[in-house]
Amino acid sequence: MRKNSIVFILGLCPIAVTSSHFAYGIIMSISVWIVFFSGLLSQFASELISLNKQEKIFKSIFSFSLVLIYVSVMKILFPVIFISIELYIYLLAVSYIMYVSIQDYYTYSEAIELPLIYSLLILLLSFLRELCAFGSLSFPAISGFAVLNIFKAIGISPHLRFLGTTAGAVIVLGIFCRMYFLISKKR
Amino acid sequence: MEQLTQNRLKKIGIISGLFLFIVFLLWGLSFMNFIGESSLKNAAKKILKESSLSAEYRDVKILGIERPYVNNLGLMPVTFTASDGEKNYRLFFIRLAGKYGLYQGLFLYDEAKGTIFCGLAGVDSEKIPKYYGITDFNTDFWCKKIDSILHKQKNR
Repeated sequence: MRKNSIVFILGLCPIAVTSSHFAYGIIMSISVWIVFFSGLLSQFASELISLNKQEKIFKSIFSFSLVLIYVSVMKILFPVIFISIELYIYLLAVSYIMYVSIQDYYTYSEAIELPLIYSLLILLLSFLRELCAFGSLSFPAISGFAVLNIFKAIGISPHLRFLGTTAGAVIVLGIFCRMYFLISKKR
Repeated sequence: MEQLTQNRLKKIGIISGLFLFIVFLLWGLSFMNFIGESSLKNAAKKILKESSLSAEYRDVKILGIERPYVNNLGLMPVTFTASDGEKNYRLFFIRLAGKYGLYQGLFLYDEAKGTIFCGLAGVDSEKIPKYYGITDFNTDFWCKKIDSILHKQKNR
């Protein structure tokens, strides 16, 4: 039997590292959907050519190849950022949360709840972390980050810098998780 | 039986075609790497020009990306060769993990003085690395590591 809480907590591991900047958050959220769709595409391709015995091997190699193409393109577009997060995209591609997301899509009639929550969580957390730590929002740029200094423009300095650290992110994630489980329990 | 063989051949053909297409696409994309490499070069130039940590290396010019990349330097480092007309240098972009997350640090290897940390890519150059959670401990660790790896390579 699958335990949603364990799946979710395992999926949070790469987020704690890569949600430090909104720019990373944007790329990781896009990556979630790319990995998800490459998984669906590999399933579709294997059904199309009706593979039986080597279905799992074909699907794994095919979807990972699609992720490789995506990473190669992104490395050309955002090479500086990719020095840091390339490794985490490969981890995402083989993560259990993505495997479960693809399985859920077929089990619960095209459900996209899990990748949707996961990508939104990455975006929200990276947004909060950067805002708390530096009072800014960054976007992926060829030279690294294109930074929008929000607090500087308003004339205030960030006072909750601790929430921008990795330890702070774990605390915020804990709060998010609690909220998620409370809402899903009520439903 | 013939129908079965035909179907099998068809499947093998489609799968082979699909993977050949992916391999060619990846091969084709490798020719576009120069775009990314030139962006990395510009980011390194910017750090050398603006960072106070590399003030004495302002005149260093980046010659090009080095292949094969130096191994054992974290995962996927980027290496450049550089020169100021008199001496040759090597520059490394390395993933640094600090209190506030991941950054890309530039290190310069000077054969006479060893490795120095030049700064972080894509961030405000007026702020010191500590503001972004990158401590001296982080940078010293990599300086020593680069020194020891290059020293070993030289002695081989």
